[in-house]
Amino acid sequence: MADYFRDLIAIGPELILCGTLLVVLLVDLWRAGRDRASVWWIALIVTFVSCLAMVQIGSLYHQAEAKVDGMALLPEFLALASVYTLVTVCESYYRGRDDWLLGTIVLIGTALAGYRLWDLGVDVFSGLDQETAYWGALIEGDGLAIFLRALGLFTLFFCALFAIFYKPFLKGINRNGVMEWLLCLIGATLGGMFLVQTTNLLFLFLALEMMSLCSYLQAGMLKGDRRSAEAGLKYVLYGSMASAFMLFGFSLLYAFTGELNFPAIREILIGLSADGAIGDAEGLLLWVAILGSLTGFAYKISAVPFHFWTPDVYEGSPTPTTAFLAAGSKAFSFGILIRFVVLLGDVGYGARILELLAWVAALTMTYGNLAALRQSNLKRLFAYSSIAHAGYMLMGIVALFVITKDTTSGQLTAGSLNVDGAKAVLFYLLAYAIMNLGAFGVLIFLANRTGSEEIADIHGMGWKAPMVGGTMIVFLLSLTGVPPTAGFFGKYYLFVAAIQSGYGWLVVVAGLNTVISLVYYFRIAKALFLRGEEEAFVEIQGGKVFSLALLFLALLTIYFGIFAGGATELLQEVGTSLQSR
Amino acid sequence: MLANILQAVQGSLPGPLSLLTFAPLLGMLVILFLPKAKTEAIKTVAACATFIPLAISIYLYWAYDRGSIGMTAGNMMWTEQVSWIKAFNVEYFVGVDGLSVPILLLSTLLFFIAVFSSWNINKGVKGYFALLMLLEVGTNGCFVALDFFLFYVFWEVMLLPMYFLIGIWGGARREYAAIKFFLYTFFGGVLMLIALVAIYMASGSGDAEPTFNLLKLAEMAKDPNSPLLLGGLDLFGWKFLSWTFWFLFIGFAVKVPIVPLHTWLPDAHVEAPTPISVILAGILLKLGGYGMLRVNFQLGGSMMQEETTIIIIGGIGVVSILYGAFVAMAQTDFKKLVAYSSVSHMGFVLLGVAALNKEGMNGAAVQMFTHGLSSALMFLVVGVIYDRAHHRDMNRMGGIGLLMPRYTGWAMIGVFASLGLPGLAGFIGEILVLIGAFNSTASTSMQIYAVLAACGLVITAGYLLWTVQRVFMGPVTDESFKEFPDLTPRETFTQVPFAILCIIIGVLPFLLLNVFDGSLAHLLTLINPAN
Repeated sequence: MADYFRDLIAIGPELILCGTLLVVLLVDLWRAGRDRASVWWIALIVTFVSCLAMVQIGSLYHQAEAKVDGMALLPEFLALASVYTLVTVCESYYRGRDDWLLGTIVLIGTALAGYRLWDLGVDVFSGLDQETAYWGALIEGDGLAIFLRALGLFTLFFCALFAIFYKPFLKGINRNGVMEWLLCLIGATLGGMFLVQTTNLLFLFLALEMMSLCSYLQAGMLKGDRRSAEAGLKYVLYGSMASAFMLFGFSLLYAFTGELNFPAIREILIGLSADGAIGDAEGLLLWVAILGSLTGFAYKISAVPFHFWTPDVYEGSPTPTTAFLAAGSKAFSFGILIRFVVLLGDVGYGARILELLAWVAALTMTYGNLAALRQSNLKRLFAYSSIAHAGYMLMGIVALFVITKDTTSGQLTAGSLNVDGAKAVLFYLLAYAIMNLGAFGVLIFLANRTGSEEIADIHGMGWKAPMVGGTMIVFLLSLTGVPPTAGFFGKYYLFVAAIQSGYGWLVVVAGLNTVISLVYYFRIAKALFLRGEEEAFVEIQGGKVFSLALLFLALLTIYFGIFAGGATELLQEVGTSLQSR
Repeated sequence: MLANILQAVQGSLPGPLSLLTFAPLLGMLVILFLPKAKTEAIKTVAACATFIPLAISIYLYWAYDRGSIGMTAGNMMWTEQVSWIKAFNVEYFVGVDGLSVPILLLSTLLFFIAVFSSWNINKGVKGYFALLMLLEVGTNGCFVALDFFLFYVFWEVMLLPMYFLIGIWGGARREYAAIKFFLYTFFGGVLMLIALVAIYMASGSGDAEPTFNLLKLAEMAKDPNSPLLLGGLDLFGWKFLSWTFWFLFIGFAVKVPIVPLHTWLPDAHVEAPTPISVILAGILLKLGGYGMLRVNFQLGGSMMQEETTIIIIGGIGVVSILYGAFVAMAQTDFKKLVAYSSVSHMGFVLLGVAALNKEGMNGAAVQMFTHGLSSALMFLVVGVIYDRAHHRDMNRMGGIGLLMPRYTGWAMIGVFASLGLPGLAGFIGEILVLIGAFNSTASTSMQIYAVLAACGLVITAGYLLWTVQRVFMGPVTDESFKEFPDLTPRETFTQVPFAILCIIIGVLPFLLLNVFDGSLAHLLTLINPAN
């Protein structure tokens, strides 16, 4: 019983998100017709009472055990309860403006989940919580998980915020689709949050599929829009194929070791290679197994050659979904990739795989940047840019191990773990989430006014909305990697990690790629400010809240570009905790 | 009691260098919060925000510890050192020596003048002055930074304002010029970043803490057993010491600019509005030379002792001198001519450094300073005529000497200073560089280079005198020129400081040399211990 509660606390943020999801469902249910109101009320009362009961039990438990903070469980259920209360109050006042309502519920739920996560994070990072395996080692609540879950909640918050302002959601056929969209968004985030804390192949697959399914749905959510339908379909088709490959890889790994848990698999593989039991045939099998598993991740992070879905899906999806795919989905996938590579990178044929990944990284960033040069649609441009950034981040994954080559036999061996690689990727994910969310926010802001997502249609918009235009410049600088922005530090850390592990050539490739990326990022800056200023300086009015959110993101980008020290120290701890594997 | 309070206040104030660097940033923030319509207020704030650094740098120049043993030993004055990012040993470390003090004076003066030169800008005033302030932060920051990372950050901060200042307020081909400038400099910056990371990593091998501290790195580079010379990462089979040196060199050379990395310069100079051309030629080009002296050659001292390096760098210098001069001669656009003359003049800086002796070093530093004065003056001169005629085609000018005598008078000082006439500033730098090159023992090719560079001087005289002939002498070819007013007080105010300084430095060069000398002597011992 005690363990059960301990484990519940560990996934508190996810529970709150589940609660939020339920609330959204319930609100929609109530809205659908008066006759369903009674069902809703019953559901509400039952949940409220059970919440209170849980809170009571939780605090009793904590008083008895005094293990973690006595109030640890309390906020979670208070959160749920307050969300319910809020819904009942708001719904009676804001009928007809329900898009705001649903969005706001998600924002509050997210904020509460974030608060809960903060508590957990304090425990983990202050070293109070030494034992971080939960649910029978299905879940690993370590620093890496805490960090990426926080990043996921951050993304969720801003995607939901953007959805409130996203015009296609506010009118016409999609008006009632917001609810489904929000549910999918929360679902995808939940899946991702579980994904980054699992060390079990089976659970990993389930979490990844939960994230993927919800993402597929999100992508095709714009009813009556052919591009959106295409995006959804394309995403599903490619995704299921990648999942099949991954499952195949997992099954081989299981067949090879008879274990599902990463640490156990690692133990067995190390044992086998120490015994010399991995011959050529077994080695090949293992190679196929790891390669197959990596396919699934490569697809999610849109690494070449699994990137083909990206431009179409990014272009067709509703823009808040695109933002989620770029910032959230990618962060989660990189999180699990770090876990995977840290545990399996230096056993068996890991070194060969990493060597291959280095080439994938170089190809991915070069292809992404070159293809982005020719795009005229902003969302497509950002799709290729996200491919390029995946390439940069892969550089950090590759740098996780120092590869040495035996000059006589040509045998590659992976040396000690270089946690700076993980640190660099994680910092980059943080920076990337902030600047990318900002950039997509600006796209929504502009598209709301111009009705178009083409570069040609935003000429001179910087003069009409100076503040939003200014924030876009900050995001573009950060995406290019010019100091003092978060993106610069991200790139810097990646370079440091790669040079530490001896990948000088990859750093040069990445550096030249950065220069290429400048060309297309500043095509946007050019369109915003260098054109169309001769038109009358009529400033765009309205959108205050939205502009402020964008300004906040821009300031955050600059903040992490000047005071990167705090985040770096935190990530240093995350990296060190990875070392214990 | 009062003394205690004063002391407490003094302790909490930022040091003069921080104030000098960040006063314009404060100005920028104030400007951003001013309403767009209050253009006069915006300009006044900009003038104040650029005056503070100017006043400080005049004080620094005055209070600088000339000829002291400490400065010859490589000391820094007015240092401030605070940890910035602990995890990577990055520090906020600023300080100045004899090399940076005069260049700071030049930089702050240029920005102050640029504000007045920009007074008649009427498009997007708020944005313009905010960006100008940001540009000054980056520029001054580079000249005071003693931490490589900090230096790099300031270096890159300059790019964005420059891009917009050219791209929005520039001439007809401004978009092209702006992105070209950005791309070239950013390319150099990325190479610099890669070298920076590699050097940082190498400096931390063994028990030593890795560091970005330029003074420490320079000391390390002197030690023949240091990891900076022996260790580090090879790139494509290219030795660490060699590739980091050349990566840094390209990074700075783009800014100098050297042939063949100079092609951004004519575009950027021609398309930029006058004040921005002034800043670009007057101070941004000096950053390249300054960076080489402060970073590149100090960290790669042992590379500089190899004859091949000297042959390459000196050769590039001479090629720049001759190529720049010949291309300038072919120009009909007044501004483009001045732009190419910058390429030619900056070649002397490289040649002087390559000489690896005292005369050469001092010549290079003086050349940077005086070229800052004369090129700024020349761009202001071009700006005045462009404001009136709305074209810069020298074939359609003529006889301005009679029509605008005062203007012609100040312009002549610029032309002759640029030409290297004895008694004016340009002469000092060039003659020192030539003496240095002749006396150089670094390579036998240096004497040949000196002869070629001297020939370059003749070409320079040729195109400048021809310019004078085409623009100021002769009959008035265009009737509309007769209605042009002579210099306005504002224009006079912008040109006079440079003209006067050109004369002062030309007559009393020791005012400059005794500041440069000590620190350059130290620099020389770092680069070439044989001296």
